[in-house]
Amino acid sequence: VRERTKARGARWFREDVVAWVLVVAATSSVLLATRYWLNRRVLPADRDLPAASSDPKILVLAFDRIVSSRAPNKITSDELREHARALQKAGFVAVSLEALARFYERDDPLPEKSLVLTFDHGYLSTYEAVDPVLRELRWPAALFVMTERQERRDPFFVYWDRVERMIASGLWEIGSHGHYGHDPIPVGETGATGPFFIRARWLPEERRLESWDEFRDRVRRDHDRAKRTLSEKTGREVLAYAPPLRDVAGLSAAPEAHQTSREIVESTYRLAFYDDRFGVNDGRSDPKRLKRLRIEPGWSPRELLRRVTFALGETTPAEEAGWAGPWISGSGKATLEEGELRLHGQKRADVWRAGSQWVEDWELEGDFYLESGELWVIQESDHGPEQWRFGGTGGRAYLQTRSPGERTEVVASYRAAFAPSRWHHLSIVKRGEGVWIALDGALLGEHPTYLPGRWRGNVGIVHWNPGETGARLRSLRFREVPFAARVLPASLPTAEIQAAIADAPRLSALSPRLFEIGEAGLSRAPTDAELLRILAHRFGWEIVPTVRVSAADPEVCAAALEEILADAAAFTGLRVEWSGASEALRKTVIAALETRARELSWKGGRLVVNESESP
Amino acid sequence: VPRALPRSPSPLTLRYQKRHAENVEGRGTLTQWNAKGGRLDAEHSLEIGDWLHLDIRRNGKDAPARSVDLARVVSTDPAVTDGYSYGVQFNLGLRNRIGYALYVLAPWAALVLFVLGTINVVFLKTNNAFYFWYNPLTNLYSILISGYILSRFILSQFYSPPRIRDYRPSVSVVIACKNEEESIGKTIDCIYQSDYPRDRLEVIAVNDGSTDGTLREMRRARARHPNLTVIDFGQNLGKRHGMAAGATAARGEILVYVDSDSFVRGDTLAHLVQDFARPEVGAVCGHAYVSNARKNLLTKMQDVRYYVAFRVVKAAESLYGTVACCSGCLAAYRRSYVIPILDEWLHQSFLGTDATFGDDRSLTNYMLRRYRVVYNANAVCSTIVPERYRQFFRQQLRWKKSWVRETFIASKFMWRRHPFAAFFFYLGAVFPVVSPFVAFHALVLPIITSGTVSYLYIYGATLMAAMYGLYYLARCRSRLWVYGIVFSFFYMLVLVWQTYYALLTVRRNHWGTR
Repeated sequence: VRERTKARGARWFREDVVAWVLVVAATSSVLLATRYWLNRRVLPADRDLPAASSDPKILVLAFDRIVSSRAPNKITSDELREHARALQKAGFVAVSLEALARFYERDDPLPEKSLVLTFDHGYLSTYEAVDPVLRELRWPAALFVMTERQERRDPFFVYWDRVERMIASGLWEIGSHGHYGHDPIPVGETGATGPFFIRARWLPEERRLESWDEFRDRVRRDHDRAKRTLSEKTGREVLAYAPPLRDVAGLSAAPEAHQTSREIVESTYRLAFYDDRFGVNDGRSDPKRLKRLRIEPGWSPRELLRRVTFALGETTPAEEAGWAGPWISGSGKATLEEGELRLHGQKRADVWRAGSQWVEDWELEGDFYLESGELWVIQESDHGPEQWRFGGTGGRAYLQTRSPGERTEVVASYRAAFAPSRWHHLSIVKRGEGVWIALDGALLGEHPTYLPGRWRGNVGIVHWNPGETGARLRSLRFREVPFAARVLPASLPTAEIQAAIADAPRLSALSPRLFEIGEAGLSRAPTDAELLRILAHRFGWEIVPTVRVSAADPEVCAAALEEILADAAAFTGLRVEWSGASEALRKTVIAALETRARELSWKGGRLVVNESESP
Repeated sequence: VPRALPRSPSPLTLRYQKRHAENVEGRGTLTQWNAKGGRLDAEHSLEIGDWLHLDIRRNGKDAPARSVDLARVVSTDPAVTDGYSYGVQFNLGLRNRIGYALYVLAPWAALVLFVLGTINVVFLKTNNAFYFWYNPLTNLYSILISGYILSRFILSQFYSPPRIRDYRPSVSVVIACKNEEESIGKTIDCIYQSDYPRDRLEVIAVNDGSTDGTLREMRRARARHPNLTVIDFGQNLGKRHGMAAGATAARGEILVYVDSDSFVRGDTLAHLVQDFARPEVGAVCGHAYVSNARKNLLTKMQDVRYYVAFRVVKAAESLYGTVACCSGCLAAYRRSYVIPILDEWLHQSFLGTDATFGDDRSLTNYMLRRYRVVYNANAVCSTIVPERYRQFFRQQLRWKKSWVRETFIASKFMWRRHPFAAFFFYLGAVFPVVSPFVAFHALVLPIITSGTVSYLYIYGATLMAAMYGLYYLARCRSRLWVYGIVFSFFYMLVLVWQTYYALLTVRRNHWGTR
């Protein structure tokens, strides 16, 4: 019976082969097309940035979770789109972290008004909601992730497939929140927990807290792990770190923890961020301490723009005149009633002067009324939670400095203070390192109080109150103090010095006529250098000597200038007078001095050129 | 207490009409009737639960005397072998009216629910795609298994059985059996009642060493039908030998195998041979109904299971001519294709032991290598399924062992068939092995480790189970559909584990008593 049968169905077997070819071709092309479509590039790597500037202002916005459809206490993609459109209309251009890093490291130009969009925690919903908006605007953004979430395949957070897609699109960069981020760790025997990067961990087996060396190892390992994983998965260097919790260290962290975390972050990443009230940075900001403005759910685009434009100092005089305009509420509540700004809230209420961070020398004036509690005028540092403050209660006022984890240091204390339930007039002049305070028209102290170093940062008014009563402010005025130098003969006559002391708070510098450049070259006037030093120290004046330039050979003049600038460390600027110098000579001198001023980083106004011919 | 009416001695002639599912009209006689119901002798085969519209005629004349609008078939008379006889109940009372309304509406409701269920499944699967890379294996499994099941439903919608044309090849019906004295006579009678030319119909009964009165019953049947051939082995050689002996003795073009506990209908053979008009068709699988469906929970579950396995799975496979198993209840083969491989099939061995069961699947496999194997939904037989769990498990184990063996064999050549057929064949080969692991991983493990119950998994499984049931309800209008869901869970929790037992003991080839 054993005989082979021919395959009678040869015809349909052939059809099956054709079907195989078609199906394989169709399937693979659909898969390839899908992959290509998902990973399509939107933003080219060499994107041209418009209107490059060497002194840009960089606004960094921080967003928490973004959702696609309306949810309580979340920002939706529509709201984000409105914010972005408003910023675009105001002239902002989004730039990438890469461009930002190159700006700080290689001085590559950025647009005049640059914007960096950052999204925290790496939620999948954030990616899904934000990506279409970015594609629409063709704007780059950064997503910060905690790599532990990817390792755990937590479906609330983006996974590597999305990360790959994000990188391929050219729109997204991935930043680090660390590996565990700030997930709680045990910090005490009782089972208390605390943030990973801020608290020393409790070691249950050994029944002790880890040492600061162990803390350093743990934090470093965590950052290294995050950085390694991310650069493996993205194929890019991990540029930036942002703390996943607000107020990462704040003033409450242990100084060791604060210091260690900061050192590790600074050595691991090229950029690092922290939350601030305005989020505006410039070329002088520290790239490892860049400020971010956290967008709260419920802000309108107008509210955002108000903060941002005031923070940039881009306001018209008319807007400034509405004096409450640039004062932005922080925590607690600030309301405008009957021309008064009222601060009230649980425990703490504060307002901050937008744009004050750019002002080196300033004057704050206003009327204050306090029923109870404390009122402080605070200036934060430009790159962290350090601050100095003036204020107090209970018969005494203090000027204090505070830094993370350390005790508040009293720089000066004054007998005068805010009496409760009375209006007080307060005026604070901060000039260079010195602070002059006048309460109710009377100067507190004959001399300025000195801060440790130059201070730059946001100025605010904080009201602490255990009750509900609140504080009232009116006629608040914040303005820049112009640079004012008093010209003196080199001999320093007593009468002129007396006159200068009477004007002390308004004067920035003394300008003795120390140098003269003539046909014969440089001639120095004799002076009492010791007296100058004492005066400068006591009244917070800078020394900006006057140079009188008369007709001279340009080469001789250049040599003389070099001689003067050789001990530039002794003064903080120069004032130049002309006496018969030719137009060409003037130009040469100014050009030379401007170059040196930049090199020595004499700040605005420290190179004074007297345009008119002096006698 | 219902009024007791005297039974009327006079039979009533009537016309009956079955609407809704399929329109069937015929003449019948009502005997032993009273106000509540009676006995109906009909022209067609009907199902329990069918609703009939009756027009009762006066004295056999063609004018309606009284229209008892509706009657429901409530029982069959197993004693009747010649023709169809049913107990009917007249549609009186509110309860019956509600029952009728449900009968009409249920399939539509089922259809709507079925569509909603499909949409829901697709929606759940988009989640699997969305989160695909978070857990690629589980998600791939989840998408594929749903795709497999949905593809069965969708493909089966494209299936339509061929109409009866005048193709009437000569047919040899082979019944190989052992110890079936109760049913063999009726099985043979049913075949002889077929609406098929007698000169082209040959019936061969093979007695495989029965120890009861099977041979006696066969001889009695031969007295009734002189055309019957009886082959007696004298000793037990195995069913495969019986089938082979039938095939060798047969003279017909088409070889039809019928189980001794399966009863064919009048039009079954005519339907069954239609596909053979195409020369590339090597085998045709008939449709099996469960005749003892209402016996107990087990048979009710099997009823739904059989219906879906035939009308959905086999119909879908039939589109590409790759029905994996022509069930032994009723299957037809082209004899000229069977004879060359008969010897090889008869002495088939697997892993060094003789393959003693799964003859149907094995023979189908031989056909699948070279020819198309299709399913015919109109070629219907009713079969008796195991009523006791012990029997049932033994049967399932035999099927699973032969599934293991024949799937392994078929996997060597199925890739040459149509890509869809091949793809789903290999999926179908992997799922029964993998799914217990997945169920364990997704359902049992979380409960053990963290005490969390994956409601989504349970929901998904229930949804899939409900789709089987709803499909059955939409097509069969039977209350038994709920048992489809019960069966799915019975399968998921109990039966799947048998696969592993079958895998491990695939070489143990004794039949196991029934």
